[in-house]
Amino acid sequence: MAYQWVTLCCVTATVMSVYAVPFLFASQARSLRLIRLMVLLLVVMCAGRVVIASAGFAESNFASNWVGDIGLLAVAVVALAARRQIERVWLLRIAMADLQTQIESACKGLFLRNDFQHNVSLTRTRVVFQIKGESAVLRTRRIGAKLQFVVLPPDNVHGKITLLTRWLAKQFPGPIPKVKFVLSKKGTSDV
Amino acid sequence: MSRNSAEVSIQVHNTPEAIIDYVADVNNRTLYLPSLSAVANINREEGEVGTSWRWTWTLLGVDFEGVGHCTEYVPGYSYSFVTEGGIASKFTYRAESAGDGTQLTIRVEFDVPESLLSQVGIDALIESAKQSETEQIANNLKTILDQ
Repeated sequence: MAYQWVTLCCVTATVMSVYAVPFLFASQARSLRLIRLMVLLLVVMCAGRVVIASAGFAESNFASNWVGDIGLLAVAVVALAARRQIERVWLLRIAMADLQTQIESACKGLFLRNDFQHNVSLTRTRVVFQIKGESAVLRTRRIGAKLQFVVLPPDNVHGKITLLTRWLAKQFPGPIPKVKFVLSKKGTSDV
Repeated sequence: MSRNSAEVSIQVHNTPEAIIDYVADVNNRTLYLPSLSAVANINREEGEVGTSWRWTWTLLGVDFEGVGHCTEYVPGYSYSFVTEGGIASKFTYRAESAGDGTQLTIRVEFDVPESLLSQVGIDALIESAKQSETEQIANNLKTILDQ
């Protein structure tokens, strides 16, 4: 592989690590969503590819290394085709017991029946939601004490499942901390 | 300050009492208010009026924090609360029996500081967001409370 591709892969891995590392050390509930990682990967790789090509490497081996370009295109096509499934795959920074408490409290507010089914070793959990004769399943797998691999239910089952998914997104923001403004009574903002 | 408002009415298949009780519970709010990320420090008062809480509102990826408190609670009829801070707002819910359900009217009023209005494009952004956000609130409540 041309060294430009190796450089590009290293740069992409660095950018993705910078994005993901705060998640691993987060003290608060956070999420890492597969779809965002794939978008980040594609954006950095495509931008890097354009920069390298426009910087005068068009005549080098890099330009003829079409295998990389096809690989990139394949990832983009797969991401687009399976977007609905990929969007449902999250990593959560929370203990399973706490996640269960949160989901149960949301279900209470949504009048959504739920049933937590744990396996014997408590490493896998199925949460079955039931609404007016229809059901949806959320699956979790424990990776660490405060690290859960989660596959959300499809949100086209019922509006309440969509609301639950949106609520979970609020409870588990991405790894990069947001800018916060505290609004004072005088109408000024303190960051 | 510039005063903005939006109002939406929707038919919900539930009782006015159940609807007003639901919107009066501060803990339910993050489930149906699309941009409300969190509520905390809830100080509940007898009869709901005076109940206060801290809120976190997320707009374009930025968190805004402030304080809210209940100003009106008539069981089975109406509930109002105001938010204080750089962006002051008032939310009013009214529920009236209609047919086999309830006509729920949601009115949202808010002041936008002149300093914010001077930003290019913010006027159009607020104009498009206020009605769609209010409609989203009404639709979410219908999804949750329809029986």
